[in-house]
Amino acid sequence: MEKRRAINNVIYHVFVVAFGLLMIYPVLWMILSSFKMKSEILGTNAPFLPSKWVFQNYPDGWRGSGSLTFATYFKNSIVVSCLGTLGTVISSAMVAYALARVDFKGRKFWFTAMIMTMLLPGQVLMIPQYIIWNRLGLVGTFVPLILPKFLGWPFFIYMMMQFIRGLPKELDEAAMIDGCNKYSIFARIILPLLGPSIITTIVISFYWIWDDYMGPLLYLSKPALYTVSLAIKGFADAQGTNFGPMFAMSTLSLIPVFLLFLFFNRYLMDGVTAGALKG
Amino acid sequence: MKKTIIALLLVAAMLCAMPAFAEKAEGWNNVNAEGYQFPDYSGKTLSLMWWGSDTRARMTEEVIHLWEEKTGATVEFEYYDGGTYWTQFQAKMAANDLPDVFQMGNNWLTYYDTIEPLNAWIEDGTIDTTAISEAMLATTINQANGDVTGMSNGTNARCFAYNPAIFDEAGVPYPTDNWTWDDFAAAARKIHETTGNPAITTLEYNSLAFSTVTQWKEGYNFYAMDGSDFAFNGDTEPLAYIFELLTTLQQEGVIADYGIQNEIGQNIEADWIAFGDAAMVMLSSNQFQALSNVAAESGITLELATIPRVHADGQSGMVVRSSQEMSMWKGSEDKDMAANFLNFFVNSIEANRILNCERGVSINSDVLAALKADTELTNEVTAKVYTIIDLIGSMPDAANSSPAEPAANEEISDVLKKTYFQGLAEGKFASAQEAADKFWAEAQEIWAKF
Amino acid sequence: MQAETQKQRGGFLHNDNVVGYLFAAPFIISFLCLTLIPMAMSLYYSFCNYKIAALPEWIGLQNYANLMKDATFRNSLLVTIQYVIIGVPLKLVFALLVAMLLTRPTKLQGFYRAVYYIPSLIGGSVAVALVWKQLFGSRGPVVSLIKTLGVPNFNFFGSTTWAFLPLVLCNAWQFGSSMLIFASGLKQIPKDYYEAAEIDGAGAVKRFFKITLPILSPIILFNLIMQLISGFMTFTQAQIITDGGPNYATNYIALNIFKEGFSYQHMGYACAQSWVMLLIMAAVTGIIFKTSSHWTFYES
Repeated sequence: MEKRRAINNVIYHVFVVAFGLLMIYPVLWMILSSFKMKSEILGTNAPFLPSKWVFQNYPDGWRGSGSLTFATYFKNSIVVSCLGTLGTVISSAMVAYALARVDFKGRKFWFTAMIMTMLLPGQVLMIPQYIIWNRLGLVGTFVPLILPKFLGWPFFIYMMMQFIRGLPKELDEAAMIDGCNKYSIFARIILPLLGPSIITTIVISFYWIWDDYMGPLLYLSKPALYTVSLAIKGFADAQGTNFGPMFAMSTLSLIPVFLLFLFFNRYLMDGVTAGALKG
Repeated sequence: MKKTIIALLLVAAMLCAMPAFAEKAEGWNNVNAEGYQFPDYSGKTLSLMWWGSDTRARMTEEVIHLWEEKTGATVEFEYYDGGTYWTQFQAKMAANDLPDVFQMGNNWLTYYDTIEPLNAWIEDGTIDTTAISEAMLATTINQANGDVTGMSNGTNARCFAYNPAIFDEAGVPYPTDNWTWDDFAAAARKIHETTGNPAITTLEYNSLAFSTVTQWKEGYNFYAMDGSDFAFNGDTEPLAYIFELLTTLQQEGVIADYGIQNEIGQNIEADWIAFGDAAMVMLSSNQFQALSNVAAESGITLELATIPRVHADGQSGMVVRSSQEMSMWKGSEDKDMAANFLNFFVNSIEANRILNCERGVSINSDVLAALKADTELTNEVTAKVYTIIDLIGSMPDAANSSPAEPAANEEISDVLKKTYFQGLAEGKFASAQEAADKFWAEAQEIWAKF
Repeated sequence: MQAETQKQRGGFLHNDNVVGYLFAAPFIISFLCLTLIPMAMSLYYSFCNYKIAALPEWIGLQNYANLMKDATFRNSLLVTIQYVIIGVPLKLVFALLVAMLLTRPTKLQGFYRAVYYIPSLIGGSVAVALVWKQLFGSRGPVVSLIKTLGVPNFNFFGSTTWAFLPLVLCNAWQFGSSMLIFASGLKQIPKDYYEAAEIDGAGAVKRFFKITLPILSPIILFNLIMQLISGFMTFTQAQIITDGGPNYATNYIALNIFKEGFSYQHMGYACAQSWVMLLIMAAVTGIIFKTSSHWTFYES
């Protein structure tokens, strides 16, 4: 029995590692490319490992374009992503609670409205939204990128709703009897039990904001405010792209999101926090 | 006595007129001359927007700072990659809030309502055009009404780059200045036979179709010169000719299939020619530097050639065009200041030593001479670009092959490539002639929508 | 029950309607200020000839009439549906399997998850496009393999039949967010359910179908709806990897809308396409919601 378990274990790890390598092959390719010369990045028979390691791509990339370096862009990305994530978590949890647990008039309507907002392609809403922010005089600031996150993000609202609906209603009812009202049920019962989905929201929304390109493109409009994703695009042009520096900065831009994931994933693992729900 | 008074009055009048006269002396507006006076724009702000790589951003910012130092103005600038620049531009256009000066492409007819013509500032000399030839200035003029839509940042031309080593290996002659499509097909077939690879990967299908029309007969053109209409007379023979030629060569494997062309996509540096796997590529002359840099890493030296023509002694169909110009926004609040910046950007030798024709070959002959004379700024590769631009510019039909791009061009070109060239390869049309006829019908339908 | 609690904790602030609107306020504000107006504007534009450069000009149903005979639009609907039908289940099954694989408690669990999650972090970047083009390119490893299997002259990006496959795989490969959501759903399943089932002698397969799937069903519904929506909206990869080609084989609807609106200057027409697409998607999601009551289970 022990032996069989040990063999099972080995098979499991070999399989997960092998499959994992396949998964991250493209990422390894990008990281290795950040140490290559252009011809080895693009060549039709390019080698997997750089034949000559080019470290210069990193300082070249870091100095960015003009007088600003990637230090500025990283700072901007961190500000936008942290505030945006904070806003997403708070507002989405609130709205999700209302839609999943509070029996108010018009609940179905607002739920339908929320799903409908996701059904129109962003491409046709872009121009009218831009006009609104422009009228408000907020183009050229971080506000159009951050403020909407404090007003709920349908994807995460709906996700948290599904998690809340998975929580037994008896919990609310028991709390009611213990003297809780709707506000304290949210704060004391629902929020703590939502742990895993809040962690998930943090991890996913952070990197979605971090990777977002269209928002910064439309609304930042001065280099001092550019985010990393926008600045990285600045290496690319039909007239010639600085691939090495571009991949070098793409690699660096993976690090913050990766660290955030490692940090928060602990809370999604079994055994760290005891199973929150017991029947 | 009376005479004295008149004389005195005359002197007085002359004295009064003197300063004005002195100011307007020959060359007063030459930004490169010793005594050129920059206006004082302290406390004022100019906004500016362009597209391009980080290299371009670095150089442009340096020139901006130079102008800021000289005038005391502050420049607020933003830049984006070429692909998404237009999305950003259209959002700003919809909100009626564009920068004072923006980079514009050959597609200026599409954005015509946002552009302030520069004629007034050229006439009053704020923008100095003495060192710019009429032909060069014409690259950004709307021929329908004479409006100058912007100052060209440099000109370029579509041409072919080739690898002479592969031509030698296959034992075929290098392209001549008036080589024909038959010469091209023969050489390409031989190269394909020798190397087993496609002889050419990237081709710009839409512009080849249009230039074939121009080459077909004197007086033929696809669009009218001012972009206001088609010039095409419905004789679809030239279109069928180029459809047939390119599709046949592709089916033989001489031209890379659309899969390979898609893989290369917008990255000129990923073209097989850079790695010795293809012998030719069609490109814009301002892409040659980047392509040569990658090729050099593999020890490959490339040369430039003209686009093949239909008849060796016929029309070239080639053209020197302004791919990028700086235009002034109609809603700009200080247009004189914007004009001063444009003048500096295009005419200043000091500025252009920094910009170094990265956007295209300078239209100012003084600037160009200064750059060419400096071996630090002009290397072997840029010299080849200067040569091909000179050659194409001197072709007899160069002036009448450069229509403005109509607003419908983008859609017509896309449809031409995806529906007709690629559809023909997929066997969706019985013959090249059928594809050509159907294309012409659809092009007219598209036009009607605008 | 409701009346009872109302009585218990009377007072304005404890009325369910007030509580509901207070908590939902962020979304309602953003909906009214940031979404409703743009949606209404796009609906209005769909009845106009709108070029962005010029003011919209009312043309009634003309755009919708043109849509009926637009072969490119019809084709883009078809290829989008093909993409969704193949791509969405693939991605979901993949994400669920990996999520379950990586819930096994080992010391390396966190590391493994991170590794499987990384691909999603690099998003729709230029790097992904380039890697994909090289992996599935005419000289890439995948095509070489196919050629050794005896299919000469095979080429993904030149084939109208197969060009979609690298895009579907690219989408499935970036399964990180779905996986994470499944993983946190799995974490919510009480352990004693499994223990009880094991004591009853239920095998792994039975446990999966009798416990995991039912309890996870709200999350599956969520992931299904979201992946359907994002599948219908797929844009970036088709734009940077194939540019809709060859011969419109990957010209997905969102890409077509973008081209019509921004490249070809028919913003009004693009809006009309968007609203047709909205209707189709609303019908699809509506049907799923309706049927979902038969296969999703909420604790109550």
